[in-house]
Amino acid sequence: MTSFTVSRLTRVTVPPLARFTWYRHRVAVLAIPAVFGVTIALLIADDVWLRAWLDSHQLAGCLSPAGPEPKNCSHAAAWLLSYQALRLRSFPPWLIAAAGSAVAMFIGLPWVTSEFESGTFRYTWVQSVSPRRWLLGTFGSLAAIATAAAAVCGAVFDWWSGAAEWQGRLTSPWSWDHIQLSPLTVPCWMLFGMALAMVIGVLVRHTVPAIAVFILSYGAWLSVGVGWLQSHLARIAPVVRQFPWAQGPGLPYSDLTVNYGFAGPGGHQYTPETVFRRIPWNRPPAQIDQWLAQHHLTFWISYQPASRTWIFQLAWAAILLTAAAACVLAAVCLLRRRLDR
Amino acid sequence: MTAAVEVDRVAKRYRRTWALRDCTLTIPAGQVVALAGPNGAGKTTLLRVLAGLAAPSQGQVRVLGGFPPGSAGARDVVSYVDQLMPVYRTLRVRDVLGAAQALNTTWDHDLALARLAALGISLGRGAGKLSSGQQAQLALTLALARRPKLLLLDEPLASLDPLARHDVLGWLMTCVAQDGLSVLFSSHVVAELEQVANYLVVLSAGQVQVAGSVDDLLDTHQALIGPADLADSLAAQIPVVTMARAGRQAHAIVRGTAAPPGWSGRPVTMEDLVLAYLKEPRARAVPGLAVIR
Repeated sequence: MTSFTVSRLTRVTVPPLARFTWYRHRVAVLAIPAVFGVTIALLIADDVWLRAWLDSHQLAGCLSPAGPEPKNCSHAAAWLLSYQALRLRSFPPWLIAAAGSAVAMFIGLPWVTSEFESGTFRYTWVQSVSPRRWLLGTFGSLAAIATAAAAVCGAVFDWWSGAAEWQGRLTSPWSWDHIQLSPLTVPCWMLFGMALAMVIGVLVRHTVPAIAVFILSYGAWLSVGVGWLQSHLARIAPVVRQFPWAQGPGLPYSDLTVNYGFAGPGGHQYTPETVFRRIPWNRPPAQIDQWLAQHHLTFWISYQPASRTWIFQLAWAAILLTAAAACVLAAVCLLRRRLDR
Repeated sequence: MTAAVEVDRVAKRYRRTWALRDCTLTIPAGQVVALAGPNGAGKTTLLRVLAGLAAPSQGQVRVLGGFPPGSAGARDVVSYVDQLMPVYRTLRVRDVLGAAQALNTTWDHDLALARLAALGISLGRGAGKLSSGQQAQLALTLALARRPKLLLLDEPLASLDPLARHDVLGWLMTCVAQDGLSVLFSSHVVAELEQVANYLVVLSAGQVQVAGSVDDLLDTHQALIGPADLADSLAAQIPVVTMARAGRQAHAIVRGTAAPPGWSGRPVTMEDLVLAYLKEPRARAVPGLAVIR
């Protein structure tokens, strides 16, 4: 009786295209969690090892974001920093990025192109389900699995970062992996990757050339997105502070310096190089401040405080979701054009 | 009677090539329609337009009394089997059926299982490991398990052995008799069309050359044999579809029931008729038109 009920419930609740995806793309459905599962397992193993190492050296308190640092934390941090530079710091973020790209490239793309290459679209597109529903339903099913797996991976990476990066004491929370691989942005990257793969698949229709186009487009997006856009986003609405030159800004390491310079009379801006050429460096720092005051020059710095990183993560999530939506729309339009031909 | 297919001045162009031109055709429902024509005549294009896989460049197409091809209403009642017999070759037959069931609002799983069992196709076998004939049978099974009202088949029998052809045609005829199914199928093998078709459409250079009930067409055409020196004057007495001279004798396929003086007539077969029109692409026998050469 119970099994009958469960069976009936399963039949009623699973959407048809999710069932179709299970039958048609079972290998892909199983491969997506497997790829991210291996990544998660590596992160967990690394994190457990690190925490055990800190425990064995009575340094577990170093992981606490609040309160004073235990003795020897800085010594251990220095050791870990060099250690991580070799292994921990560089390896896992790239592993997650590679896992997401691989899923998009080798699963998110061939499910479309194989339909064209094998000619099975001439079967699939004449069933009760319309080609558009087939495209969106299959994409939705695969993307949902990939996005959920990526979200879990992002959460585990966040947990791993807490130990491996010592709650922001070792690296800046403004580094690319903190912004791009947060539990919020990793699933958005995954969704964007799947959508980009789908539109390229519909456009190119052959797996190998489509993979080449995907690598070029995704690479271009990464260099534009992560390289150019991230630095430009950071320039939006920074906090600006003026302070005496000798005292220094006193910004914590976790804040991101955007710009600095000198403000002159009437709000005129001078580049640091212009002012530095004229500063009498042979004087003590206090007298340099006096010299700056005499010339009505004020040193300022603009920066993004660490507390704003989540806003940037949110902005990136919005950008990626918009780009993913544009890709899906383009894929639907291309499919309609294909039918009209 | 509802029309299974209404094609009104349809044209279809692929880049610079016209696959269909000014194609007009009405086929009543419940018919088994043979679609014949030389290579490149536009048979596959016409079937793909009717299936909704290609949109016409010009003209109007309606199926089963008013559904535009590819619309939700049409997709529910029209099944199409492409000449490439596309089935999901990487899946097991069981999963092919599961996928097909998920894609369709109407699905007769028992019919599919019974048909595959009768053919000896195991559900656990990979679809790609089936012979080409078995893959064709699987594709036909998938098409018929949807319980369509119009079945479009593009060269469905090409990969089947004679026994399997006979079996498939018998099964099709059973479905037609039981469900009132309309079938439109293309084939180069005129002899097999003759066994089952009760309506004939011949396409040539993208246009409808012949369209009509097989009985009407056979009743209104005859084969004539007579002296070769009377051949030139025959066209003045009766509409001639095709004429061939062999020594002192001439053979002609004509439209008309009475043999002119000097000629002896015999009934034509469907093969005679199709071949005659294929030899003369300019000849036409469509409703409302006399034979035109």
